[in-house]
Amino acid sequence: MTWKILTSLAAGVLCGLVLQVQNGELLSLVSDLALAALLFTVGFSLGEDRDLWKKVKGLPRISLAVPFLVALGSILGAVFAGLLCSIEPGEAALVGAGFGWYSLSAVLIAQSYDLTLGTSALLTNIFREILAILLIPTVAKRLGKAAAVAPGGATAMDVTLPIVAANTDAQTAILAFYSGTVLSILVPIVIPFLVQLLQNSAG
Amino acid sequence: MALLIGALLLGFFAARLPWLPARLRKGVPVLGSLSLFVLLFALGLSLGSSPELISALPTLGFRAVLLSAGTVLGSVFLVWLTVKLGRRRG
Repeated sequence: MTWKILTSLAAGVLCGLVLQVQNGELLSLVSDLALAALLFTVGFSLGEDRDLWKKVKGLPRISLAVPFLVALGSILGAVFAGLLCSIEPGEAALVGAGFGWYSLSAVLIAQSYDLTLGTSALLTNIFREILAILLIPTVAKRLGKAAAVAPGGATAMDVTLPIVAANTDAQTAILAFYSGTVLSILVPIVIPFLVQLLQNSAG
Repeated sequence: MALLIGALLLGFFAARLPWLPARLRKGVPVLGSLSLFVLLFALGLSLGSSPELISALPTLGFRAVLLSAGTVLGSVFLVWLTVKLGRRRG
């Protein structure tokens, strides 16, 4: 599965280099449709599970905190990594607060703060998604099912959800969807908030 | 966002239709993998088609790898630690 995923990405990059596709609208329409199809299949596999409600009720209380732990961990981790390659802590925090949602975080940061940092956010959060796809199976095995929800961040509700589901169980898939949903809602709240903080401290 | 939640709900209720042919049921995971490949292909396509991004890749890319590793490690660590401490207490 992993090499198929990487091959798809690499094939896309190669085709892009050769063809120089400029039709962004068509591309985002295709992505939206593919994402909808992906979520349909995720909903379908949840629907096939007749004991779903029992499993939701059986989620440990601590699960409610998972998306907020992922948010905090992502921002702190980015700040720490930023110190290693001399990126300002505030800017690293901003990039980390994309939580893997590369399109939205890149646009938000490029529009309200700085274009180059927006590009950094795009790349960082794309790499986060790829890293998550590669690491989720190992994290699930070594560090437990709940921890496998963390790498994907906001993408735990869509792109990385099937990977979490395949490597854990139905209950963790529900946790992943819940965590990804909360994080997706947090992205457009936390990024403008951090931009405000950065601009206030600069001015 | 509405499209995504709509698709998820549609899938959920489609799976509960008792008269859905078994052949269609078996096709759903295939659709899942295919759409994931299309998504990543499209992402690669927009990356490859942007000369500005490609030329900035070496400098920005190295930092982005470090930052993304930081976000993954930080979030995994916090969740792992909390679950572990929660188990010990409870």
